[in-house]
Amino acid sequence: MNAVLKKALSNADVDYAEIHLEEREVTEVFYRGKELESIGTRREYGGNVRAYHKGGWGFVSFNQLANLDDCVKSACNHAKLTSSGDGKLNFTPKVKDKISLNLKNDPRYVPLEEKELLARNYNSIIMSSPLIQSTSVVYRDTYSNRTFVNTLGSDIKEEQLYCGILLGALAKDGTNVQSASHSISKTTGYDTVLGLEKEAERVTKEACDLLKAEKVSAGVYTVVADPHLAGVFCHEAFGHLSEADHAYGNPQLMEVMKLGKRFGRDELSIIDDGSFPGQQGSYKYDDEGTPSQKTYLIKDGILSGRLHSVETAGKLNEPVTGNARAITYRFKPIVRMSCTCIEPRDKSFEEMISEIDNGIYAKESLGGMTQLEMFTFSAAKAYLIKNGKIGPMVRDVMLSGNIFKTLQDIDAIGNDMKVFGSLGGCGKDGQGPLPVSMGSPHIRIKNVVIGGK
Amino acid sequence: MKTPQSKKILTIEGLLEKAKKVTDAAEIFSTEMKTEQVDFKFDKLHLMDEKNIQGLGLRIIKDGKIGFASCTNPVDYEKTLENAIASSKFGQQAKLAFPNKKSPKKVKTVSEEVIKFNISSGVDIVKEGIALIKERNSEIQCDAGLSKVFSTVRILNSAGLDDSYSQTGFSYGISGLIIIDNSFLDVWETESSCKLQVSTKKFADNIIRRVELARKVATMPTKKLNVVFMPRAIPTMISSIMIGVNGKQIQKKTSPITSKLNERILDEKLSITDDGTLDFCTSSAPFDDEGMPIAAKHIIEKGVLKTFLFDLQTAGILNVAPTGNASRGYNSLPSPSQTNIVIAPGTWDLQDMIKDMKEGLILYDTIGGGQSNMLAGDFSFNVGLGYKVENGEIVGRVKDTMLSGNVYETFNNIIGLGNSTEDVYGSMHIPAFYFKEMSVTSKN
Repeated sequence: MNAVLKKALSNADVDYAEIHLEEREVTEVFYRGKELESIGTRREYGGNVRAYHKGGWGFVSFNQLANLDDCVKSACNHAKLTSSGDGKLNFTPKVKDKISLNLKNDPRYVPLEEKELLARNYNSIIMSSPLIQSTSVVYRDTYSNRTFVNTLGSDIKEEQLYCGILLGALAKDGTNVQSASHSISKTTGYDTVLGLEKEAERVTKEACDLLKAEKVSAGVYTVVADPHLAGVFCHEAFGHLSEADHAYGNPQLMEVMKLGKRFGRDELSIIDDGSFPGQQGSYKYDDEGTPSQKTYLIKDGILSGRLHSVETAGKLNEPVTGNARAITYRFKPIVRMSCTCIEPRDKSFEEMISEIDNGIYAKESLGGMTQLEMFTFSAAKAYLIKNGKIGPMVRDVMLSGNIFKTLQDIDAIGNDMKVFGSLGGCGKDGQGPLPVSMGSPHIRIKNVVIGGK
Repeated sequence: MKTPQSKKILTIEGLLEKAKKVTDAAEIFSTEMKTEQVDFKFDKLHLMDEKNIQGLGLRIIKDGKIGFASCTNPVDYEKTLENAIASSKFGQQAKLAFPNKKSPKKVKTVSEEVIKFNISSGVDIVKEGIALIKERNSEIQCDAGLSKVFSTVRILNSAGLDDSYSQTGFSYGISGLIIIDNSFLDVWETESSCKLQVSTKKFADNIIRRVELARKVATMPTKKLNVVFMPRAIPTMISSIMIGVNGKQIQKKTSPITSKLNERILDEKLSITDDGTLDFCTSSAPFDDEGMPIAAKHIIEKGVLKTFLFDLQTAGILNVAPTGNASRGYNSLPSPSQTNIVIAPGTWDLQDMIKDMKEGLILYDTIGGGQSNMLAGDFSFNVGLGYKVENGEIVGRVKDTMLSGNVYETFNNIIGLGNSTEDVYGSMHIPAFYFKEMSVTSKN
């Protein structure tokens, strides 16, 4: 097949062109309450041609076996129409590689019956509590086989398999409706979703407990974020600002994000690492054929790197980092995170809590959003901290702030690093959810605005 | 990618015939879509993008149970039928019958002008839009996009229906970024329609005006304040109500308003219509994604809850009439969803709302809406773009400020609605809302 692709590319009369092909198969089992909402397999084949010419890009995607020569021609014409006469791309040397799956327990060979039974069992654990009104239990495995060739001579085939589960409980008492959930997804195979009965019990209890929790009082608090929430914070609030495609053309933003500037205390280091093995955000090559790598975004409090595609690396004359990713063949690769983490230090969780007179212990997250330096994200659950001790549960804890101030306000970093990936993912420029991971130890942040009653 | 030439390939009709032989009932939902787009980054043309996507979903009923599978390539049709049958073993008990009547095609969803529009002339439109902004304020940096879409939906089922319609789409959006006093400001405008419509001048005026108003930063207190929501800030709030009236939540009894039909649940000033019959609105269609006719109906009439939104299966389970609100992509089963949302205007002039506030807030954009307990109606979000009002005058931009509350309470605390509606995202007509005493939290 690749000979066909290479032949099609040989007609590209532009500076650079590439072809992606993708085969995808998604198997999903979805229980909502007593009922199996959906079960089955979706298959897709598709591809795209992307062309670059003197600063401009052309992109054509398709999912019928279209005439590749025509697609290459269109993409090249689009690129030429778009070109502005300048620009360069920073490539790594060409690569020929084939990455095949070798999983201990490959979900593709697990019968649908078994996946259904697994989801049903978790579902009945959650449904067994009388306060539970409904559930959302989703099992999903996604197989993708990507082929990549470009005019530089790279030729890569990479197989990936994401397998994960969402365990969601919805408790109801009168008009009070509360939910709790746990999700895990990795690239290590079917074992990821086994043995989660305790987690199913935990989310059930948490949803029921939330019914009794008071709404948090609005105010400015010292917050201890658990590894999950701290990971979301690091991804949402800081990680997106490190994506060079937002920055390269904006001199003011480049000044704000100037490498070498102090962003936090000496203890603070943030990395993005797509070569981290087995995680949801792991991959060997990005969608431009660049190998994934570990990149320090903040090292010892100092801004020390950013995330690049071949284009943004070329614009800023910085090394490419392997962060150009597309959610599927329908989309062009754009600068994305992979596995983004705050590195651990030595403070214990107990110590962190014991030093707080009046604060909040916020755990996990329902989501987050940023608009440049302003961020907002919600804790899935939270507890008051009074006089150095964790107290009663509170709900509706929504944290917000300015990222630059907030990074400086991180005054303690824990020793209990954890990395997470879920069935959800990251969204950007209409492309989502993209599989990513995030991680952190417990961290403590001063002066966080929390909305509430 | 497999080459199809080697094997005899089923047609869509052939797939339905084959499915009919081995199932109790079958339905094919097929879509084709071509999108063309130009993107501008940092004031400059950056990309021309073209997408040609099609796909097909096969829903079957076998032994009384629903099965489903989808694919994008005709070589997979046979495999898709096998997958659908395999999934029906676990499927829900079918409580639906596929319709067999074609729907009248009264609603206008296709514009010849859009079909003829050459995407390269979009480049000139956007260039002009950016130039209009830059000539008045060269510090503003613009990202922008313009796209046209042509799509076709076709539904075939074993009851005998074979119906289809086409839709055009045209969208234009521009966002201006500026840094004022070391703080970012992102001001945007966007519009969508089935028709060709480009408000270059209006967009430039609005963006420039909002940037000028944001030159000063005002300090917000933490207290209960009257707040004006501009129409585009309302969808975050409305989406909670839309979840509340969704037939799926009603069927599962998880909606907090499950038992409130024909009761007054919101302020009397509020009437909300679901209307998929509006010409050239982006959620309009002659029939829904199961082939049921689409009609306009009140969801809320003068504060009273009038209807929930159902597809065939949710209506069948509850033994009520379907409402023509099935929505789906080719790769999923249908579920209920709203079409276009129309909120009836009130009597207030926007200027009078502002004059009425001794101390208050005008909200344009929110950040982080939709993360709270939406089902319960709880909301809590950051002010993206908003202005403080003192003694009836806008005094400056608001930062580090959150608004929170519960939609079902807040929508019972309406001082008034604006006397005209604005088109929001091509599928909503919404007036400005003037709310009484919302909870405002600020870092100051």
